Amino acid sequence: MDSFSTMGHLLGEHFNFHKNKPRKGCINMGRMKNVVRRLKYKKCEVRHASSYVHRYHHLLEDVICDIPSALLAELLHEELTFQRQQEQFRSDITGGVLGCVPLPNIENQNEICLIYPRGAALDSLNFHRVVLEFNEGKPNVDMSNTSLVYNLKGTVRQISTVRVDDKGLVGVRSDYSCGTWVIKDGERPRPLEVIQLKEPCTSLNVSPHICGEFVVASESGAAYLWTVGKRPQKFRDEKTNLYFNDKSDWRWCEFSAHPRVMVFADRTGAELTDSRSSDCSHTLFRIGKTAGCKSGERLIVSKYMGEVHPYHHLFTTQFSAYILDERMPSIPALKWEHMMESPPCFARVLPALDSSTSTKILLGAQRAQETVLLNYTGGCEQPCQSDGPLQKLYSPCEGLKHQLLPHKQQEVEKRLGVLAAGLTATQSNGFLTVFQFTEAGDLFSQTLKLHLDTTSSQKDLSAANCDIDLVDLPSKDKPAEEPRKDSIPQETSTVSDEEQLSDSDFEQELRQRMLSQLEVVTNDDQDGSLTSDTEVRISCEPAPVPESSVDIAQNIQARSVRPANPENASEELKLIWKKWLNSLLDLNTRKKRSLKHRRLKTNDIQVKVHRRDQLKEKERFQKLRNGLNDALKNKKLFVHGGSCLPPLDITPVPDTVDPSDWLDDLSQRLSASWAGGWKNWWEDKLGLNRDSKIQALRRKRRQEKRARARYRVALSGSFTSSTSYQDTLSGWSSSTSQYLGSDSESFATSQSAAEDIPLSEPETLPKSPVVEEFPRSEGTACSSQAIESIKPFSHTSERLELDHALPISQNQNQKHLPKKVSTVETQSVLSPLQMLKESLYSQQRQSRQQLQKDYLSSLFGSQEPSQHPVEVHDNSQLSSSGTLRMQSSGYSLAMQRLSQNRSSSQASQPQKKKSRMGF
Amino acid sequence: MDDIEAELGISRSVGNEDFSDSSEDERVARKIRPPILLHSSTAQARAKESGFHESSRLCLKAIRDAMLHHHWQEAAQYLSAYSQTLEDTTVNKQSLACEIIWRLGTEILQHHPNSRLEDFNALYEQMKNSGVKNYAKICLEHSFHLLLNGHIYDAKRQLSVAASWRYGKQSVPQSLDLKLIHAYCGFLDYVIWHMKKSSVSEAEDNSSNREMHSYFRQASVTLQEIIAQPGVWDPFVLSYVDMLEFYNDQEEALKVLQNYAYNKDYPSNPNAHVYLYQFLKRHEAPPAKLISILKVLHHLVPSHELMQEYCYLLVNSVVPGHLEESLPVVFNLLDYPSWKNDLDTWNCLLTVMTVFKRKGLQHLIANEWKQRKDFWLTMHYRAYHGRKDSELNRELLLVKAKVAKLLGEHGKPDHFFKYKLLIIFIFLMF
Repeated sequence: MDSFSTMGHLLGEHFNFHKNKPRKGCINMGRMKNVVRRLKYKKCEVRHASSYVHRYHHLLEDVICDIPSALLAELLHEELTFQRQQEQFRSDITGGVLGCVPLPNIENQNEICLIYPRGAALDSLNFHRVVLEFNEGKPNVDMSNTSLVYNLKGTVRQISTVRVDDKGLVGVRSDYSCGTWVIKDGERPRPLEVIQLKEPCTSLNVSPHICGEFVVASESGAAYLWTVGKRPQKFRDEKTNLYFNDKSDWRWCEFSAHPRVMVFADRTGAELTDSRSSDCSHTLFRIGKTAGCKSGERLIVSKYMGEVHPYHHLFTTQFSAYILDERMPSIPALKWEHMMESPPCFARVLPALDSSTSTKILLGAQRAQETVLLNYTGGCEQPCQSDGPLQKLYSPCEGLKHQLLPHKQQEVEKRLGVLAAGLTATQSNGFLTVFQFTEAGDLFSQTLKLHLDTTSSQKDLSAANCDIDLVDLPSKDKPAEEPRKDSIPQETSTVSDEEQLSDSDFEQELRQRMLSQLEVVTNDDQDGSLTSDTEVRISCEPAPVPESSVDIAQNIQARSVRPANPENASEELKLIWKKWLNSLLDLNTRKKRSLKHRRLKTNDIQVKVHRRDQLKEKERFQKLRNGLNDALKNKKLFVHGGSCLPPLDITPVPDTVDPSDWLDDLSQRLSASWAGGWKNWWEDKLGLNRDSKIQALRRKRRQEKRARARYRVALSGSFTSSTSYQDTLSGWSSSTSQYLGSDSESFATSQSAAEDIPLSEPETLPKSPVVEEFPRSEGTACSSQAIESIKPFSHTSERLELDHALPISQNQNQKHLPKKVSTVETQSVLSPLQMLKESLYSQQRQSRQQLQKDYLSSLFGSQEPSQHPVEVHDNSQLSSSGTLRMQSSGYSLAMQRLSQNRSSSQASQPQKKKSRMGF
Repeated sequence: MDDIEAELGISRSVGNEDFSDSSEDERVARKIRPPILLHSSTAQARAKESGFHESSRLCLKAIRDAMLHHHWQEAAQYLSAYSQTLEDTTVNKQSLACEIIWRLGTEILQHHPNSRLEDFNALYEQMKNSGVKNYAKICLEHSFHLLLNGHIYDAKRQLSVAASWRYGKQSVPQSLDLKLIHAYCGFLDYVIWHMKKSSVSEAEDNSSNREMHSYFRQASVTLQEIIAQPGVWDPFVLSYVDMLEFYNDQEEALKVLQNYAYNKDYPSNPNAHVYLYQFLKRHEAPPAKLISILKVLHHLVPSHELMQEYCYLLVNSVVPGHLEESLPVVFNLLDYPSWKNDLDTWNCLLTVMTVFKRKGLQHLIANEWKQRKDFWLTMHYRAYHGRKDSELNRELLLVKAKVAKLLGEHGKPDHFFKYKLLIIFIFLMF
């Protein structure tokens, strides 16, 4: 600072560092401080573009990857393999997330505290006090108490519970942390301590010997003895697998008979480790070395069976369950092949209540919710002996088979069939209550009755019968069954050397009970809408069994393996089931609604060139759609003019070829052949018909002469007497009508031929620029009919008919007034057509008129040559006939008028030619 | 959690060759599972299977389900249909089907309400013929079944027939089976001998006596041969020793037991030492010898019930150094929660401690206590334990209190504060 101070003093007065007080004559450096402050930070060079970069990133992140694809592929492969493994077997929930601590009996009530996680991520720990009631031999699981909830930060992976002395201790394992709770008699569960680990822990177990001691194993192979209130003490650090390289991260730690000796296990085996000295360990169980081990077998879970036998440990593999005595390592005291399809990772051991009963082991697997019950006796004085065949318990999915609509059935099966996540059991009063927990957060319970007969000898028959009687007590038709029971006692006894109910009645009972009572506790309000937890409880009580067990044994062949539909389920049960189902289906629909996609605005980076056009297009489409809708609604025609579509390209009608312009032989021949007079032309050309022509000419002249002479007579007659006129008129009418008739007839036919097309045209091609109007026809009923069919204005059409009828009769009878008639007629015909036209085409009148002019000219262009011969005739006959002139001019006039109002169609062009032929 | 599935694949291909018999003590009625039942073939394999194989697989599944739910009659029906698989043309599957039918069949028969012994015999005989590979095992199981039904002579006959059976090359598991057959042959000879012995003692009969001796000779030859091989042969050793003792051949018996206990080839077996100790004790061996045996046992199983005797032996021993060894023994014993409510053990500890105190060896007590005080206080001396002891066993409470008093001299006085308060309170009450 000193080195700069001189300069600073010198320059100081010229600089102003105050932000808000600008001084004159100084350089204001108000923002300098900010600039200096920012100098500390590294500037992002593309900051100005960052927002664009971000948007591009979001838009293109699917296509352009941040990570090199080779590396990504490797990682993806790894991840997929891991996911596949997870799908097959999840080692992290080994041990199960369902715990159970028995509470002291008060007034003959069996109370237990169930500990299980809830919530979408299984991250809120529930302590639920459950009362097991055994009224008159009927077990009932009362879950009406509300549970105490602790919300945790991670998913619960394992819950380990032990009752030590007077306290229940609960260890809860999450991925990176472990917590402990203590349940004292008559007090609320309270948390003791939480530890955090650097690596994921795979095992947490509570000491059954010393209150407040836990053993934790982590993925890295470290094992800790954790005493509450003290720092966890690492007693083992195994970097590799114990006996061979299995590449597995799973480690497990359990207590053993000595409070300071722990079982340290991984997939390859288990060792006993003394936590007091670092190098004191010896093998307890080893894959490949323990007798009866198969190759490929792996340790799935181990459990210290302290409450059954102080030195026994349970080890399960994919194939077998072993009981090992830690005093005699590697030699199994007992071995079962558990017959489960997936590896059992939940185990629960229930000690024998007295010497006559057997110890029970429940093994549970994740997939298919398999649960298997094993029995064995002995262990202390007697050698271990398996007791009866193993038994599979019903999974929730099997037990709750209700007939439902297929989609609901699917929903329910999906929900009930999720992976199992825990298993626990408790026994009291001769009942074994098994609780099963699934990953969806559902809790199921089923109760089994223990059979108390010990041996299969004949002496115990009565005892067995007694038991069945007890079960059958509520049955009303019991007396009727009695004799039969006595007659075949052996059947019941052969299977009853185990504690369970004999197979038949047990199974039946289970099935009956499975469906007999089911309680639903829904608590979607607890964790918000995301919680999908509903709690189902199937409590299996010895409900009235309608058939005697012996009877069932006889009928066993006729029965299906699976529980039948709950036809005989109680109404109450049905109601409860319905409630659960509704809540489930409700939740599912709600879940769907809550899904939201992230929206990304890309307006700014989109190219805007065609935007306006697109908008216009859109509007137009909208308009078009509206127009269409309106037309539909009003049952109107929807025409091109009504829409705002761009006008269609009009292909101009090619100019009519005027044969008179082409005087060469070929052209003339062509036009002649077009007109159908090819032969005549040749004859003309070659002069073959010269004679006949001359004759025809002569004949014609003769006729004309004659006609002139008659006309004069008639004319003079008209002046002389009106009566004679009448007579002659009637006499001549036939001859004139011959000529006139041929004319009018030819016209009419041509007209009607032309009409055929225009008739349909207004409907099919409403906006065709070529066909603009209906053809107008004079003196024919057809046209009126045509008009009628198009526009059913009954009034006008009647008039039309009238108008038509009139000229025809006039035509025939009053030859002298054709002009007037024709004008009247056209006007009367035109008036409704005009209306029609106006209603339809008022918008484009202008352009139409233009068109009409075009057609008019074309029409006249084509008609001129046809008129020409007549004129020639007229000219050749100097004594011109007034009527003929009048007629032709009248016709041309009519045509003119007609053409003014109509632009004839293309189709009318042949008519034009035809008419020329007629002329 | 590496590749369980892959390993399963291996095990499936390996099949049941390496299925060795589990411990001999286990009942015959153990549940035997054909390995192919586990993880039945994957979808990929299923795509290729024929209709026959598919239906047999489904049938097997149905049998399994029925058996697991204890529907024996249904399972029997399915099994009768399953016998069709014996006609499978592939050799591998046929032999597998044999084994499956044998195992499932016996299991079902065992629990079927209408099964008779004749059915068993018929099934076993048929299976012996069709499943030649498992002949030895089937014979063994058959004789076990006969034994369970009390037909000892039939069982013996079955075994002797099986023992003389030879078929092709012997595989490793087969030789193990034959060894077991041999062993049980000898054992049944012993059982018959034992029965004869009890009947002979009542009626002196020369012929039956001779018969008994012949059984002894047979049994001793086979048992001796069997026991000479390393393994856990507890019942066989005991029976052999029993016979030798009957014929007053103590030296041979001792030799057998010592070999069984101390031979390094044998797996470590605390029972061997117990048998040796019991034998020597029966024959009034000097305490030094007993102590040496128990010392080994203590090393193997510190929590063994004989440790109290060991402790008393050490305390009463005149050999210098033995007394010092007694203290850890009893302390170790009480480390185990299984002994924590045992009055005798606490009495033993109290005795040893008073002896030590009298002899001025308190530093040893202090040493032991130092190692244990962290968990002994919570394991033995919580207020809860005092309360419970006062309810259940007041004598124990008294002894524990005395021990606590002695121990209290070595630790901080407040260690037992709560416990002492409780004891005072309890004694004031009564």
